[in-house]
Amino acid sequence: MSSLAEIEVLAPDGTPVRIGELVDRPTILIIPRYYGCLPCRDYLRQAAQRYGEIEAIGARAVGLSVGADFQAAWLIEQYGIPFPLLVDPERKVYDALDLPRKLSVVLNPRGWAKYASAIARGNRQGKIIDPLQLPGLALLDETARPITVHRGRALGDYPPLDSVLRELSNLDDAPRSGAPASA
Amino acid sequence: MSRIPALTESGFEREVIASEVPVIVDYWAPWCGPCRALEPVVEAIADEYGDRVKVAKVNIDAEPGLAARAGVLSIPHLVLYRDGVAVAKSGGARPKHAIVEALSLDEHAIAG
Repeated sequence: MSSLAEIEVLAPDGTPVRIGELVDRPTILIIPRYYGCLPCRDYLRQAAQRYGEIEAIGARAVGLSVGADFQAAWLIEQYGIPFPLLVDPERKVYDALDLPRKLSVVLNPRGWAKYASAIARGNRQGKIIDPLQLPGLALLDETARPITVHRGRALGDYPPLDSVLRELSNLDDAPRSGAPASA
Repeated sequence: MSRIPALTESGFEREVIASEVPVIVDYWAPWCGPCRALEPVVEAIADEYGDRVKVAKVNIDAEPGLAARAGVLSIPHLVLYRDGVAVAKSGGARPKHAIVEALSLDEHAIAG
């Protein structure tokens, strides 16, 4: 697995951002299929609404997706997303976390229920950028080392924020980068 | 190659639910980097506790039904079963002492 900390992605305005520069505390890395994906927008919105709880446990959130930059900028403006939304057009982070593209993601009926509930909560679908990308979520320690990974199996398949917050609260004892895993 | 035995749906009842010894099940997947980082920790726990605790692993991609029944959302995810019941959980690639504490292993392991 490549070191996430060394991977460079882009801010919505095209500015290069190294993951290691951004992550200085336990971090929820939310990895939408693309920023126009309706249930992905819904999940980002939920994370935004509960951002106070995330910060209260000394953590932060970062969104990262294949695209699109204009959709990320729109989400920040329209939904008031209080955390960075980054763009990874070369799929470096997806590859590092082994979050592939799969046809099964759109064929899984569980995903369409997620679409329905996202619509019911007032979200709008954006332009389709990458329909086959699996969604994901990783918890990183303060050195950007992945501690847990969730690989979605369907559209909008993200772990409930309650369980993410519970896991985050345990990250303070995660092994530090470079330390023996069995320490 | 891991020294920890892999469980399948057919063996789970016998090896975990019916086990007289507490069982730690490591839910993992081959693509998961943190799972690979945790593997030596799980092996060290198996070595330390010997016959007092059984340790096994479940590949969540190969056995999605087992993962769903255990409520596994993110991996790595360890569950301690005692008398066939999940009594403690630990999520993430954490150090050995944190896992021992989260699973209350010294309390649940049978007497040596």
